[in-house]
Order: sequence, then structure tokens, then C-alpha cells
Amino acid sequence: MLSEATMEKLTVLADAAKYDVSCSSSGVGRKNTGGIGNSASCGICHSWSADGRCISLLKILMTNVCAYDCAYCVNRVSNDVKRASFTPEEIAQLTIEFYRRNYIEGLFLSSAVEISPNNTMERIVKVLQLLRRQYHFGGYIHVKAIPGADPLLIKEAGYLADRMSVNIELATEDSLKLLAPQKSIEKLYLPMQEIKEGINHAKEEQGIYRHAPSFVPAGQSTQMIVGATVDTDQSILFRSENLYNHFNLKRVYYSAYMPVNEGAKLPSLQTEPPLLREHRLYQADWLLRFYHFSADELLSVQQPNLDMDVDPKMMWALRHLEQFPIEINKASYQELLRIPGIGVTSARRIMAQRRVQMITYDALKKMGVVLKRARFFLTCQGRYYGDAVMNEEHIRRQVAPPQQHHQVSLYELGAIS
Amino acid sequence: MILLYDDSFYGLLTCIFEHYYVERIQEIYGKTVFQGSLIDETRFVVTDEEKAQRVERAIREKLSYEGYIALYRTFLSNDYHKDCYILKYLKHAFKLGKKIDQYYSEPFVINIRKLNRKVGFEAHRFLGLIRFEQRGPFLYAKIEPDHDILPLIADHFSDRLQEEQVIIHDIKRKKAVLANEGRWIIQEVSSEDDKGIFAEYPIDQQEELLQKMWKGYFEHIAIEGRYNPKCQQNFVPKKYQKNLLEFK
Repeated sequence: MLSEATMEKLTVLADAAKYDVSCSSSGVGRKNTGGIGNSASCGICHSWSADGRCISLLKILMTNVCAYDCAYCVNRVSNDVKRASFTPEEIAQLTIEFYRRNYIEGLFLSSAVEISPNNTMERIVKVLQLLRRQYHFGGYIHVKAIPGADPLLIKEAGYLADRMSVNIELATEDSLKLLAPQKSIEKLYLPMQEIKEGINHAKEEQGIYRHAPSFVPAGQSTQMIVGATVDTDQSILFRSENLYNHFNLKRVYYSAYMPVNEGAKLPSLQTEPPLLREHRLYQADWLLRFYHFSADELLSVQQPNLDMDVDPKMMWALRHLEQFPIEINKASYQELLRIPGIGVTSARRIMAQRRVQMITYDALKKMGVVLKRARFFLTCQGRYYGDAVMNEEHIRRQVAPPQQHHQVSLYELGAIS
Repeated sequence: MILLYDDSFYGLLTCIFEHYYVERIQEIYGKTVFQGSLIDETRFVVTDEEKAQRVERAIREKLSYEGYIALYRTFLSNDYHKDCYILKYLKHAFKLGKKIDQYYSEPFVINIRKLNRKVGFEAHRFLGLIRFEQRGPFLYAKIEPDHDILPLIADHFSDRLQEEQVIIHDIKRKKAVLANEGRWIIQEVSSEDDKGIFAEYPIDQQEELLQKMWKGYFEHIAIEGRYNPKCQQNFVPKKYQKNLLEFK
């Protein structure tokens, strides 16, 4: 039976877990196998909290008692915060009770490293075993792979969980040394490598035996903090591309740095989280995954940061005006994807309609193309619909958000005169 | 000529049959929602299962199973002209065949696509936006969706909660899904809320504690520095909030 004491722990450990960004419950379609719960491959959001982020999984830490002292983390050992630990049984019960009432889609279990990586990972595996074998829970489970834990434990977890993740948090070795001296990139890559091998191995076996068990079927993900160090967008995006290519990651999450700790090596507590920069990085990430872009097309040593005024695809297009305008009725799918304002959906629709009917400019709007951006970069039946001049300055003025005006105060006026 | 039918899907399909085998018709409406004027020529069509099934087969053969589902979803929407859109779409579809869905910019396709999307989206939303309460042996939830989505979400919940006795009550349309052991039915329910049915099963202590826990969790999971109620409301419109525990 759950009690008030569990309630107390829940608030502490939810508070401690909320800086983890990942919330998705997608990637696995599974029917109920005679217990409670199934899983929808599209993922299901159950609510949205006051910060506008979706709540899909019950996101909690096993414990926030931590041995590490990472400068950016709210749970670091040198912080004076309320500490609490769940027992595996408590977590399992809480998950089932929340799940039955349709509050959540499953469990997201992370943890601070309390005694040793092995000890922590063991307790995570315990929760997995309880939920899957005792409660016959078929819902979604996302757990952390604790760097430094025994490969056998990670393997055991992988066969029971749907998604696993290791947060690398910082994009470069230098930043890690500065803020999390007890961690290193190699140590973080190790569990990722193990998970990747596990996935490949299980896929091979499933090719031979139809009922071979799947391993982390929804893939692995990671997250990086944006704005805690001097890392440029270039180093972050190159790191992501590297992770996608080498570890077959499903997602890389970006989290705008929220100053929760004071420290000489950290931005001051008054720093606003760089939400726009985070947004631009997500847009660039989408270009990598769905639009056939590569990181070095977007960013270089000369231009290491994304444009804050326009989205990354527009930024790229403005730098490559020589490749435009593109004729909608002739372009290949890949070329269509390069036009700002045309996404995967509208590109597919254009390809489909072209088979039966010529596409007119009016039709583009009805298909969901964002003409505000797209009209500068395309021709439709040979006609250009942008303005008389096609240069960067002009297009930028049309698509960038207007400058924010503010009322001038008397003091500022004084400074001018 | 305007045809009226009894608000059932087969009723609508019977009307389509009439169009091809009896007389040309311009519009179709459900009889409970129809707002006509005196000069309209109307006729009520009695649902005929056999005729309806012939139309159903034709749609599935000449279009596709997906196309059939899209029309069914359109039928579930609360749009006043939905039946006319379906009629218009089918007039074109029987001529064009499977190719019809490639005409992305034609209004007869766009109307169906839009309503199909609206209904599908709301149904998907409600997979998440339903909160059950433990009432004695039942898990009970009430909802007020814009569209008649019960038949679209019943499968999901009856599979997920096989071992439970589940009731999802659409208080707007006064009907409910009753699900147990992987099977479900939709039944008319006379009462508008839970008071009548559940007078003998009040909310017990354990249920109260869990509701408190969920509310507590909901508050604590938000990051104060990223407070953004407008974004939150975009995802959970006010009209859904009144039946959601954490927003009460």
C-alpha cells in the first residue's frame, strides 16, 4: 500500500529528475500480453506541465543521494538539498497505480550514483524485473544506463526496457574536464557502445529466430546542455552527428542551461536559459535526421553558431542563393526538401500530386507549404513569385521577425542627448 | 433533393446507395441535426443493412481500407456538412479510383482530409487526456470531446486494461464504452455525470491519496525558469481541462 511517506519522496525525486529532457514514449508497438499495459508506436502524451513540456512518463530518480560533484547538477554531493530514495517495490506500485488511471504512459527511471555504479544499476534492474515479470507490465519503460556499471547489468536492463539513455551533457572533452571532472567521454561512450552492440545482436538473432527477444527496441538517446560552457553550436551539432552516425542514436536532446548552482566555472545564477538557441539546435537536429543535411553544410569554423533571426534551413538557403529558385514541377524529392517552407509532408504531397496534375501556385498553399518563406526560393510553372530582387538582404528583411521596440525611458534619453 | 438518415453510419451509406440507384441527390443530413427551411424537399431514408454493405464493399474495393476508415472518421466528426462532403467525395472517388487522394489541392479531397485529421487528432489526444477514477470495482472516466470519438479509442483501452472493468463516459452524447477482458461495447447512458451511477461507490482513501500524488507530481515536474502557460494551453485547451484531474 502506498502511503503519505511515498508522496513526500515522490515530490523530492520528481523535482530532482525534471532537468532530464527526454519524454518520448514512441518507437515500440506492443499489444497487451496478458497483464496490464501495451505500447503505441507513435507515443502518447498524457499531460503538459506549466512549462509547456509534455508529461508522458512518470519521470523520477531512484535516489538523489549522489557521490559525484558535477558543477551543473542540482543533485551534486556538495549541494544542500532534501535527499530521498525509493525502494524498487515502491516504484513498481506507483507506476502501476498511475498507469491504471491513465496518468502516464510508462516509467522513466534515472538515478544519482549512490554507492557505486554497479549498486545503482542493480537497483534499476530490480525495478525492471519487478515490473515486467511480477506485474506483467507491458507499458513503456525508459531507464538510464549508468556509466561504469557492469556490462552484464546493462544487458539485463536492455532486454527488459524499451529505451535506454546515457547523458553526455557536455559536447567537448574540455567542458567535461571543467564541470564534471569525474567523468570522461570514453567512459560515457562505453555503455552506449554496449547498448548499440546489444541492439545489433538482437536484430541479427531476430532475423534467424522469429521469437528472439528484442533489446532496447525503442533505441537509445542522450542529452546535452546548451549554454553552460563556451561550446559553440558547431561543436554541439558535430557531436550529435557523430552520435547519430556511430551509435545509431534515436534522439539527441538539448537542454537550455538552467542555472541551479553557484560556482566560479558556471554562468551566474541570473542567466536566462538560452531557449531560442535550444530551439534552433532542435531545428538543425531535424535537418540532420529528416532533411538529408550534414552538420558541415550548416556550420563551419568561420560561422560556428546558428542564426538566431531565421531558422537553420533559411540560414543555409540564404548562403546558397545560387542553387535557387527551384522549379516545383521538376525538382527531385531531395531538392524540394532544401526549400525553406517545404517540409517532409508537403514535399511528399507535391511528389504525389505531380503524378496526376500540374502544381499551380494556389495549390501549393492548399498543400500546406509555408509560402511566406518558400516563395523566394521556387518557381511554379516557370514563374517566380518572390519580389523583383533576389538577394539575401531583401529576403532576410521579409522573413526575419521585426525588431522588438520598447518604450524609451527618460534615463536612456538622457544618455542619448 | 435532400436525404435525411438516422445518424448511423449504415444509414449514411444507405443514402449513398439511393443516390446511385433511386434518384440524384444533392445533400444528406442526419435527422437530429438537420436545420432545413420550408422550401427544402426532404425525404427520410430507412437504414437498409444490405444496401449499406454493398456501398461499403464498393468503397473498400474501389478505394482502399484506409480510404474507408477516413470516411468513417469523417462521419464521426461534428461538422454540420460532413455527410455532404462524404457524398461529394464519393461521387469523384468512384470515377477516379485510388488516384483520388493524390489530388491534394481539390476541395473535395481537402474537406475529407481536414475532418479526418481533426477527428483522428482528437481521438489520439484522448488516449492521453483521460483520467480514470477507481470507483469500487470500476475504473471510471468522463470526457467531453468535440467529435464522437468513443469507437476510435475503445480498442486501445480495452486492450491496455484487460484485467479491469473500464467505463469511459461521453457526457455530451450520453453514451459510454464498457470494457472488460479485452472486449467492449458502446451503450447509451441516461445520466449526465457520475452521480447517478456511482452513488454507492464513493472515492475511497487510497484513490484520494493517489489523486493527491498525481497533482503533487504534476506541480513538481515543471521547471520554474521555463514557465510558459501559453504553450501549455496550446497543448491542453481549456475545453479539455475541466475533466482533467491535474487542472481542476
